[in-house]
Amino acid sequence: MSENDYEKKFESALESLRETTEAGDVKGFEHEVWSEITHREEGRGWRSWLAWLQSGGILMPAPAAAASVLVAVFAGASFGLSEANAYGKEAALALEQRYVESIHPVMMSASHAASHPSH
Amino acid sequence: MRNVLSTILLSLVVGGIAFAAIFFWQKRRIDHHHAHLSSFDWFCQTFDVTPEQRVRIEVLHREHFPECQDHCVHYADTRQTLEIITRDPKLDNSPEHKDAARRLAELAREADKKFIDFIYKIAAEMDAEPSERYLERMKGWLMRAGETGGTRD
Repeated sequence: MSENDYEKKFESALESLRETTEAGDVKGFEHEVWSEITHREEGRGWRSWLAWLQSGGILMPAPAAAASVLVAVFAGASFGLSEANAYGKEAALALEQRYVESIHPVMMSASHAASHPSH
Repeated sequence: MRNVLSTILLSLVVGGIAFAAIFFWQKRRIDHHHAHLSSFDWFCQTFDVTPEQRVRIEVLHREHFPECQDHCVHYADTRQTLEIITRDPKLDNSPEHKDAARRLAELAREADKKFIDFIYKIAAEMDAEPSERYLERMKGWLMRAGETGGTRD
């Protein structure tokens, strides 16, 4: 091997080593930067929400707030009435069933068997 | 100006209170009403039975009850016999088994017939519109019993 050839090989090996090292460093550096950014973003996310809530969040006019409460009262009362209505229907159905069981022999027998399973 | 979050929370609480107040007030009223209501009272209220009609219909119900109870006892006895036979593998498909099954189906048909005769007797004592409603409701029960009872097999 001539001295020239030896130097060429040495140069190319050195170049290749440099490239590898630089690329590795950049990747490591990028990774660190992105980790730091993510970490800061996360921290800023919940901290900013907390700060937003502490500061009072979005404000709305008093009439709108009053209307919202009124709507909630109306919705709650309507839902309560409808649920009570369903409850009343169920109670009436139980009475109707009792009535039918009192006039139909087979249904009377089934009801008796259900209430006295040992017989 | 009001905070949206506190307004939403306040609305939810107030809406919940309104729901609970209305529901439990109505439920108490319904429970109280039903606690003092017999099934016959329910029938009279639901089908707008007048006091005069009530007297006549009550007599019909009183006449029907003993016969209905006898039939009920007979039906229950036959069903019990059939159950005992069915549990015994030696009697499976025996003449006794077939006879008990046939007898039970007959009793179920008789019960339906008695029920139909009775409801038409009752409907005849009522005004036109409530009597139609009454027949519809009672037929509904008959259909449901036929679909789910399995007594007519």
